[in-house]
Amino acid sequence: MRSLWKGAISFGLVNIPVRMYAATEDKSLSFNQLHRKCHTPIRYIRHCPTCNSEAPPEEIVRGYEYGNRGYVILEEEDLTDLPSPTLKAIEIRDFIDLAEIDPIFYRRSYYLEPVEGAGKPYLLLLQAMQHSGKVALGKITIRARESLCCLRVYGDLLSVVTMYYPDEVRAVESLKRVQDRSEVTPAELRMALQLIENLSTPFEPDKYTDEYRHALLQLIHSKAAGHQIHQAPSTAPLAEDVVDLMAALEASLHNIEKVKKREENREETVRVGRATGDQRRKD
Amino acid sequence: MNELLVRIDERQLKLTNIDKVLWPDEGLTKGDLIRYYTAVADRLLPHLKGRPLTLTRYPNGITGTMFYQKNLPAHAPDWLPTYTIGDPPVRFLLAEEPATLVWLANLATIEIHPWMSTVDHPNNPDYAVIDLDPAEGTTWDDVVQIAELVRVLLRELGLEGFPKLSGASGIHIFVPLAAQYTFAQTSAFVGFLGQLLARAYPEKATTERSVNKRYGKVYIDHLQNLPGKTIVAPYVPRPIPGAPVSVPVAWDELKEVSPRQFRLDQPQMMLQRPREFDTMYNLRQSLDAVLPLIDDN
Repeated sequence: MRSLWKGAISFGLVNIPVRMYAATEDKSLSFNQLHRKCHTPIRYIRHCPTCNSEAPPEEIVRGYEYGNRGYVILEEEDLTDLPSPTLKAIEIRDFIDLAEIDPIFYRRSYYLEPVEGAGKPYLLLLQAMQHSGKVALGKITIRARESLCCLRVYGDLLSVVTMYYPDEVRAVESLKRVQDRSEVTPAELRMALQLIENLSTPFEPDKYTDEYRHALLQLIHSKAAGHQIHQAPSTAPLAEDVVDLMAALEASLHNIEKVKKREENREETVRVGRATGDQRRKD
Repeated sequence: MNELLVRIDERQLKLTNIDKVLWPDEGLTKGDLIRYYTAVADRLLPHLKGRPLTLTRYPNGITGTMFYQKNLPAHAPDWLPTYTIGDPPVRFLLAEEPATLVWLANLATIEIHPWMSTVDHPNNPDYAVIDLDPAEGTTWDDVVQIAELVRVLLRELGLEGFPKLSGASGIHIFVPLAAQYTFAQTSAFVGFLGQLLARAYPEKATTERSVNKRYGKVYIDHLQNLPGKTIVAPYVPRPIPGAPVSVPVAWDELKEVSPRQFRLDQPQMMLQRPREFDTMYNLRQSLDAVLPLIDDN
């Protein structure tokens, strides 16, 4: 695992240097878009309709659409002066019960690893949190963005979950509700409760897999096995000397295939030989 | 008492907690690790000589939290040679004698990663590593086949390479060099080999950085040659179940061995490994003929 961030947990007067690692990874498959004709990956061009030309990165600036009056341009220098109070630190503000936080607030989890020499204060905070059963609320800055976070114990490590600010959680007032509570009868409720009871099990995350991804991977592998792999033509021409090397490699690959074929053939001959032998004995 | 005073050459060392289990599935302890490092010291030390070391320590065994150690702790005995470099300065350990290995093993150091350069020329590696890292969906035969192709390429370029099992699932091929190239050059050299392989055999070889695009292929990692990157030394055990060891193999043996065949509990097997790998540093090969090809590509 590669650490994303090195900073410190600040807790009262104590500073605990830690390294942060992403706790989860997204495993969904991503695809490239290819040109159907030649299977070359499509390249996106940043095009300016006014100048009718391609805009190179150095000519691109950040603009914030300000009502319908146009854009406010923000340069890199404008942003550096903004306050970023928790610079590479997790600043603990309050301790609360985990159950008080609705999961809707959670964004992403990270593991925290003690930096060399920080073992003792790290362990102290971890054990104190274990004993109290509380989790810490605080602020963390990741990639120049400050966010609310919850620091908690995960196994024998500290972990931190970034959280949405309350004004980022959308209001539910406009959604429709069921008005008439008499629509559910006590008998129906009892039955539903019974069903829940029957289906109740301990949480075993290993039971659940992403079946769509598995099926998709299988499809890809079977297409690959059927030699339906499409090579984009290489864009750079090879130098003379490199062509020699390629030829040597290709010749060697060819040899390997020949040897494999020969071995397969030999196996076949052996099998045939044995079959005839058996027949002869029968005769 | 779980404490033991030992004498190695003229050094006196206190071993602590030697019953601490490091590989729980095999029940292999810190005592086994110390025994192993003592047994292979003569084989291992030539690969560490004069090279600053990065250590991976597993105080609670391979399933517990680990940490990398570059900076030698203040409590380290003063007979240990060190090399200080960088800003902020980092005091690296140098291993010159068996007692150092015992001291390291006693700290639950499982892996030892030496620099690819020595303190005489810290910015000029004296070998390049071609790291073959099989992704999911590949077989050992695939890795061996790519290694064979590397051998062909090296031969075409007039270079000799020396393979070792990574101990996990791959193969590391060391190419000893005269210490006159930069890390950027050795890395570009291996990158170039990787590109050729991926071009010649796109079904099985890849230089793709993103892990999920490597399925079914062997990744040729040239970035291992960048400064500060290190690769596990030969004869060093790996912190994975089975306690496999990274060992030198002869080219012709590759097909017959299995990737985790050599284990910590058989140090005598290490002593019977072919010698070529251990003396390869004498071969100070030149990249002068290869480097001009790379820019053209």
